[in-house]
Amino acid sequence: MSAGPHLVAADAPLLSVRGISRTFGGVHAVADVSFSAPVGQITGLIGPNGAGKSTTLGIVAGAITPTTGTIVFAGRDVTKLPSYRRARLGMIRTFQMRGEFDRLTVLENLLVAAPGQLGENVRNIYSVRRTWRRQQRELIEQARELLDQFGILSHENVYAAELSGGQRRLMEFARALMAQPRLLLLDEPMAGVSPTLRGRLGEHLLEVADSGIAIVLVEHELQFVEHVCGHVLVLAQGTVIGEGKMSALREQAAVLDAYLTG
Amino acid sequence: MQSLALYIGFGLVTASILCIGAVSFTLQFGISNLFNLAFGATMTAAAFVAYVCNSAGLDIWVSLVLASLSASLLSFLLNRGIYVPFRRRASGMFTMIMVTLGVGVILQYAIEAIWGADNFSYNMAAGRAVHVAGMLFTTTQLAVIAIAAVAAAGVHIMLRYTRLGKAMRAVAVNERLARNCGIPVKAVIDGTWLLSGALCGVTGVVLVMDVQVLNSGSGDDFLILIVAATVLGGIGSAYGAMVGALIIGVVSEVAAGFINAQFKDISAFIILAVVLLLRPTGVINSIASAKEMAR
Amino acid sequence: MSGAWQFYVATLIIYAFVYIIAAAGLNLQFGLTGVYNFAFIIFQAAGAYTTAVFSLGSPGAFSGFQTYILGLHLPFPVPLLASAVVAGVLGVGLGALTVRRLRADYLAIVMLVISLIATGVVTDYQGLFNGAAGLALIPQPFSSLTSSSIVYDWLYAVAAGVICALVLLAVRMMNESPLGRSLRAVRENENAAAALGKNVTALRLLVFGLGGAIAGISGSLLASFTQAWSPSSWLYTETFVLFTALIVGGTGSNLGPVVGAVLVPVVLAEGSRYLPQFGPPTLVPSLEWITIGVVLLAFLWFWPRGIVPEPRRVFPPASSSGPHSPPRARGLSVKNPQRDRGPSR
Repeated sequence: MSAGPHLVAADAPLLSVRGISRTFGGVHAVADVSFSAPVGQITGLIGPNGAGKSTTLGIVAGAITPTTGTIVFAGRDVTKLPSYRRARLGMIRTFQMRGEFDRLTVLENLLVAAPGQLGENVRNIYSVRRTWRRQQRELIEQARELLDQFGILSHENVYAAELSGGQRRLMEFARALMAQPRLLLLDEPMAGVSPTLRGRLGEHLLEVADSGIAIVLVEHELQFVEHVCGHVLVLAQGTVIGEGKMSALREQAAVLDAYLTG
Repeated sequence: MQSLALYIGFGLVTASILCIGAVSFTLQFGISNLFNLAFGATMTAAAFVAYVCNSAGLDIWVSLVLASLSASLLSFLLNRGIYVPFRRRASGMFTMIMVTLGVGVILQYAIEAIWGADNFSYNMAAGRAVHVAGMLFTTTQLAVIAIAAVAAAGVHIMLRYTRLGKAMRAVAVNERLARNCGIPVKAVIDGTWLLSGALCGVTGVVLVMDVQVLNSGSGDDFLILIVAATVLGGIGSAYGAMVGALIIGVVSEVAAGFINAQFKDISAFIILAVVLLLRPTGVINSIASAKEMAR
Repeated sequence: MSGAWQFYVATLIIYAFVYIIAAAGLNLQFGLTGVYNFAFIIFQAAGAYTTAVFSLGSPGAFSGFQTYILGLHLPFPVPLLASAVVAGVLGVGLGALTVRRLRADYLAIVMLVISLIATGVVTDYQGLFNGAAGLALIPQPFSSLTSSSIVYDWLYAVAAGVICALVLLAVRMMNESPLGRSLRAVRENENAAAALGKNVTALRLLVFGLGGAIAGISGSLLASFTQAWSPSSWLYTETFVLFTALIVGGTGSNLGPVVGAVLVPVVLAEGSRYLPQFGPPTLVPSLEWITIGVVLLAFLWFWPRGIVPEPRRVFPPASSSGPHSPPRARGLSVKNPQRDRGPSR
């Protein structure tokens, strides 16, 4: 089942990144990177440390301003939009480190992510009380379902700071889904996750993509990338040095070089 | 203009006092990543130690040395006893501000509990008036300028040419790296607080020598000017502090002279607010930029 | 109860309510949203001055005794409302500074300096609010209600209590709403909050405005009661006392500001007035301040969350009765992706 976005031309990908560059004090962190992320596909971004993968993700998400380039999302040029506006359009990113709300419970972490909450409007708090409470009850149900699917429902009242590393990953993933994303930007979601858990998360990712969401994934774990990513880009020193299926890329000399020499 | 030269002269004296204080304040920030808002109260404490010695009959310059030593010890103890334990707990920036404010309040009101809210002054000769290029100084003020110059030169030499100085710079930029390089970080930090504490004490005493009035709020009134000077020059940089002190000292006195007396403080406040908002790294960029946005 | 004792108790109660309201406003900014507004006291001052110049008559009537702007001689509740609005607008203006994203201690110092500049400006420009001497003879609302001043004071205490309760209720409703949750999210991790669609700047401006308005209300109540207000009433040390009150009482909780406001400013500062004076006149106040400093450090070390820490929000488990949404199919599906999912209008 696919709930495709309405405003995009039938063949245009949901996310289209063209020619983005970013320099930090003379150093090209990212130089002329272009790629697309269509609905239903998991696009991988791999490369050695310092290749510019997280920077690229940050630029797409709106946390970092590119020096040049454009980002088109759902038929709309979002290059100048601040990150919170992109999030409201359905572009949801996760963080490599410390993306949780430490002193909020797991359930609250998810509730924060839910879009369109009536109770976030000041007027609504003081007038239409019953409506926002009812909506919140529904959101709590949804959140609990997600937590259950990820196996952390029993931790719903635990502060995020008290979770283990793997549990945090699960929570962040569930939270990203709670935000009703159209595009997921995942920054090393498998870091510090056990192999068994990794397998389960991989399956979740594939299900999510199948349900009509585009995913861009930055990862180090190459086996994982090969398992879930339909299309992979290799970055080294800020530029794209290879693109295609992981199995093909494994053979390319340039890719092997990059990983060996960093 | 004759009065301009006069105000610039006042400015040089203020700048000298500020210089010693700002360098000290900035050394503490550089080494411990901390705005020590108890600095003013420490200055006041030193000034009172000098007062006690002076009233007991000691020459004011001897009292200055004794006061400086006690401020050195006090600063060292405050750091080891209070600031370091809180920092070790990974207390946030705001918590540390509250801690230093709390320490400052305790110090200031301990002083007031002992000596009350009265004004005191030192037993010393004000010195002859000296005219230099249209500016008017007393010999005491010239001595203060000299002390500031010596302190600035001394700090410069220390930072640049001694092992301690180089170690201080290393620790200020990256403590972990410095430790990995074999630098005895704990000793360097202690040494920095002892040294800056001594300078803090000197600042307190020469301030009172200049304004000729001492009360429990003396140091705190001056603290904002010190903060303005350090931030303007780029917090964490000793040279920046010297430049900032010169600018703030002269500008505030000239403003006070031409507008009104209250503007001495207000002009410094405005400069400080503007710098913090527009260019927090200050005029001279160095350590500040490394620490500035780290939250 | 003897007359003097009654006056003292009524005054203390009114001060308590005023401090509680102020603490609640600061808690909204500091406890809930993590904004270090070290200039907080100027909002209370703005409220006090606004009420003063709205309720006082024309300055000409004082023929030089005190000079000030406006002098509109308006009756209750206009000055109170005006205070809330002025302080709120000022709050939003100041809040714009936080867009700069300074380090927490840098920001605290900027705010502190602004507080000092404000004090300096008001003290220097006589024409504004009568400079260092401040304003006096501020009319009390409904002063003609009773000729007995002790009855008036008790009535005032009741009115202040009602306003305090309303403010606490309003703040509590915000704390427990999704908006409150978003504010806490901004406090915990503003980047993650933005990545989930929260307009961090707008949220901060909102709490600056609301917190400012609440502070303005507390200032208005205080100035109308004491009938006087001068720069000495709003030194930057007052902000320090309020922050200490929150740290002691507990930041982020609903009861924390109440406990903190009663314990710190009221008991420590006002209550000791009742102790026998010993030593020179400055000794007891000095000891009070030393106590506040020591209490602050002790709490920061041993009980940083305060006496009433922020509660853990637990939601009731799904009940078998009650409104149900239609059963959802297992699996992760996207529901109706909307174009713009900001807070509903």
